[in-house]
Amino acid sequence: MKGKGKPAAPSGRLRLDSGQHRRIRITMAVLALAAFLPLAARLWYLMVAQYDYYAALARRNQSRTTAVASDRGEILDRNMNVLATNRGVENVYLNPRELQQAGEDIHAVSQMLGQLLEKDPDAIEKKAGDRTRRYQQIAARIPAETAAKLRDYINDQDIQGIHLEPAAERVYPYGTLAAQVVGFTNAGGDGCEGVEAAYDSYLRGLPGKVITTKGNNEMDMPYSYEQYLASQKGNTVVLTLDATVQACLEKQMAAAIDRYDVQNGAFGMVMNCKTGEILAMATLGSYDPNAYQEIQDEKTRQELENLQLAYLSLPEESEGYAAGKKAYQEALQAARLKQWRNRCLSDGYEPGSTFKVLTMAAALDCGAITLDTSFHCSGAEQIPGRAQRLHCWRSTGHGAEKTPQALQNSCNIAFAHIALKLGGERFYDYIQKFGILEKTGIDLAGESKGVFFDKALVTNTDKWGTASLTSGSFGQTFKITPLQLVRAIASVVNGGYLLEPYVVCEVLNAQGNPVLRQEPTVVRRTISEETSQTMRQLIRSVVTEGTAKNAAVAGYSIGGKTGTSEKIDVFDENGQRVQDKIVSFVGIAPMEDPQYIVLVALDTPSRSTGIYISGGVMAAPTVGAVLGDILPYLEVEKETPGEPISLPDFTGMTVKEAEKALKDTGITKRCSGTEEKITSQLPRAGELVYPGSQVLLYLGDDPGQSVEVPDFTGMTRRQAGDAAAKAGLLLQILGNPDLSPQIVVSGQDLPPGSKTPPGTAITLYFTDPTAKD
Amino acid sequence: MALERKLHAKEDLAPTGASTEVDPVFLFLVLLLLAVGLIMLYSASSAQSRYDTGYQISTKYLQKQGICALIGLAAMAFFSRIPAQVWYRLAWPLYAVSIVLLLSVLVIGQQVNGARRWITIAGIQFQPSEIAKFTMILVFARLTRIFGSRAKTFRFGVLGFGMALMGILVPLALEKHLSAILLMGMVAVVMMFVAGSPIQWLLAGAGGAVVFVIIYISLMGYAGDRVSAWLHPELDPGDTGYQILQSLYAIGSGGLLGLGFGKSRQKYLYLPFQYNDYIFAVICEELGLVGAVLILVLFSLTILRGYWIALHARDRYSTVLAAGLITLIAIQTILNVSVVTNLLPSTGIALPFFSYGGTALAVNLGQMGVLLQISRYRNHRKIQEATP
Repeated sequence: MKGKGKPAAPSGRLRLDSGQHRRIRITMAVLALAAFLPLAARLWYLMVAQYDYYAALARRNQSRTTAVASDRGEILDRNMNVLATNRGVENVYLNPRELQQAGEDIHAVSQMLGQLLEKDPDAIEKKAGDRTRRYQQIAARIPAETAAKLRDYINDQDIQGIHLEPAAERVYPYGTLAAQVVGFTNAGGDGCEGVEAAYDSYLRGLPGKVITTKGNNEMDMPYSYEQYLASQKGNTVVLTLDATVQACLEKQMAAAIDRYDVQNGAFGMVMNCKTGEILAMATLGSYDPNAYQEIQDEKTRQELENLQLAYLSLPEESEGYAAGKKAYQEALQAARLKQWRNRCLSDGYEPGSTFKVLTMAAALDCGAITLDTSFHCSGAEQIPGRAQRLHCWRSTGHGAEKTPQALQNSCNIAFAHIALKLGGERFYDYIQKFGILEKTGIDLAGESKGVFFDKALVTNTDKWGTASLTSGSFGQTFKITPLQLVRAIASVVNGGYLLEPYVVCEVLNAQGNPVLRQEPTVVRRTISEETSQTMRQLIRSVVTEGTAKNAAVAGYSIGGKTGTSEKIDVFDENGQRVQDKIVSFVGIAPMEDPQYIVLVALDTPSRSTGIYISGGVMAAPTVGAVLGDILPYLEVEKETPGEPISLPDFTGMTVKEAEKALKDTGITKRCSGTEEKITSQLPRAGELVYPGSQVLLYLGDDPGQSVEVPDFTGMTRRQAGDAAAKAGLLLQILGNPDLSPQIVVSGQDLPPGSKTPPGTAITLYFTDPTAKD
Repeated sequence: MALERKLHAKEDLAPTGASTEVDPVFLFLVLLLLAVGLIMLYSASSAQSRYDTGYQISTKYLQKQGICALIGLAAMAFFSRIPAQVWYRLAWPLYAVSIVLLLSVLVIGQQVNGARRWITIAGIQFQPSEIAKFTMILVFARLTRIFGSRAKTFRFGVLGFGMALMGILVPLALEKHLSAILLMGMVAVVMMFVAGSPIQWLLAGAGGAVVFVIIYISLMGYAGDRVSAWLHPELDPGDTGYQILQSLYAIGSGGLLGLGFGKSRQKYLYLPFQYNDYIFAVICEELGLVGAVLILVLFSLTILRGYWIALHARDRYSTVLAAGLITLIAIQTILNVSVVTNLLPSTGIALPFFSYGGTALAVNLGQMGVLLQISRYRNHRKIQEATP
């Protein structure tokens, strides 16, 4: 303010008074200098002091993070067969802002997309109209051909704002096989049920990210940065399961369901007795994890459809409609949960007589009984401390028995006495050791531990009587899971080691290196090695002498125990206990050195087949068939009845001469035809044949190119042999090895009426249809 | 009228000092601002231009602005030769034309960005308020000379100027053109201050204006959102706070040295109006604190030189005219940068010589021509006195 204080300039030519100049200088100081200072300060504050804050906000403002889906790890069986993998598919999404800015006809585009993707065009139009969004998925996992069509459409019409993005779909190449063990993934890619759920954290990969700076409206910027974080594929999970063993188990279980008209499905498993590895685990009716929402069971599906039709026929506002819809949805959900359920470890059942193995092992181990302990079964007996008279399954009684016969006959009265000798304390103690009171610890989700008696109920017999103790000794009035039973029995035969069962043997990372490896885990000792050895012999004798002859497999020493249990907790609509039964069999092979233990249980075989409902008749041959299938596959050594011989050429010989040539070889012959001389033979000359097998000699008859398989059902051993010879088939005998006429064919592996080359070996299952328990 | 005629006696407006060339310093500063402004406009508008033209052309806005700059330069050259007396005589007629134009906007105006402020005459679309700003300054300068020392009285210095101001502000209020009212009100107050109006009344007027603005806002409900967006933009980042937040992102992420010329990211359609009202945010992002302050210094120097010209004008009328014209530039600059940095709530005030807008640029350059003409006739005694 240089003008300040100075006297006004003399007037004259100068018309500007100094007051005005002072005011201009003030204005100048304010508007040209002072006013700029807060502006500069403000800029310094924003651009230097707050730089980090605003730079971060700006970066977030400008960047797009796109998630890069990671591939879920595969699930393999023990032989690296792929049980679960991924397939590349595509999702379709819209960018409504882009559509709008490109000026696309949203209505026309929506109509076209609706038609192409088979979706509601109005719903698409609604999504396309939401301009606040950049991403609106309109279809997930579309098939490749639809994707190709859509691409053509987008390119032809030059539409901006419709995009396809890669996605992955979980695929289960084996379909229903071991479905409850493998599990499935839901639409969001989360593992549900089975290994998919239990090992989700291993299978789930690490999603990747692409961070790019983009202009608004997805405009590319010349000066941008991009950051890429690669996705990591999930780990590969290798199961202990063997797809072949699993297939054998499921095949035989399905055949049994069919043959015995089993009403409520079946469950079964194959476990390695020495390690606890699960080789197969099945629950039928199953489901297809590729379409896990669909109900697989025909009957249930029909019922659901009826329910749906019932409410759909009603007017939409009516009360009945809503109630019917609710009922349908509840039934649908229940049916889904049921088919996803792994009954081998989630549900308890009454083990019935199969449990006697544990009772006897306990009694022998602690010395409550010896092999020479005697029992007497009169068919029914009043047991002290038990209100109801105890009946044996054989009403005429088993008479005098010793310990081995008690097991072979599965005699309830003998076992009640064994339990009394054992006493509640020791019984409960062994139950605990056998792991009946705890979960097995298998590496699958959803395991339960059944329902066993309270300790006082079996130990305090003064107060509670002996009913629970005696019934418990033969596996009734309590529930355990099939898996608990199998591992307990495995410990009986493997020298007394209670194992932790497992289904995953290792988890491999993307480089193939193990990140997790399961080793057999012994939880505790149950019985001594000596008791175990005794029990092996006793269990073997049930198949050779007792109720389980139908489980026999020629060439293998099979042992096992049958079981038939009534469902005591299932009532009909009148409150009456239904007579539904679960028949089961636990088979072990080979008995000299047990390796595999197999359980099959059939839930509610129908009375309508006329076949006697028992574990011995139904479950034992099923397990026998499973063992007959899997033991050769698992390379368990077969006991051969002698050295094989090379068949001579019988052509041109007479029957007499052939007989002479076969003398002392143990090989039998069957003839077909009327001519004197042999014209051809099966098996052909030079093939290796074991003693005990059969050759077919043709006397002028032509074996032909194919033969028709006869229906062997109900034939005795002799009748079957004749029929096979006539048809030109060789016999493979499974099941009850007795030659008595009451043992008849209950099943055959080739269906009657089918064509097969002559000389094919047909497997016949012989069963004693009267075998009890 | 008799009085008026007497006052512009011939010797009053006759050249007194030596007729010289225009002030080279001021000319240089204006041309420098224009050059930097055009370069930055190109950078700030390129993304929008590419987007508008289907990714074909990045110079759409630069081309239009360039043409207007040429027209403006021609106007500047022309006006730098128009004697101040011409403007003195044209003041009232132009004032009348301005009011007519402002009122005609209400009838034949066109809506641009939601506000009806534009009209088209002879194929040229422009805002009459741009003309009105100039004519208001002309009228105030003329009144200053007419009032003479009476400007120090309330009757002339407050009521006299006030009535002239109302003639412009009332049509603008009808247009709801708040930013122009604010700008002209401020320029008018400064000019009245320079003319010698009593300070207590000016302060009272300024206080009254603030009260008026507050009432205006609350009654019209028109700019209320802007105020809440000003105080707490982060509360509504997607809508009312969007504009200012995007501006702050751009400024803050510039840092000390900026991302580099042409490398703004916010101009890729994140920051709306990045090529007109918010161009300064892009400048900050690209050139950093250093570049932004340099540009502010350039403005400051230009404004300083403008007032220097006013101080050294040969007569009272020229002084007030020059002061008014440079005040207009100063206040626009200060308001614009304040808004862009969120010191003030959002108003539609452009940054002179930088913001896209052909009429405004041409008018601004033309006004600089008037200033340059004033700089031709210096009061040498005054120079000696003011700069010893």
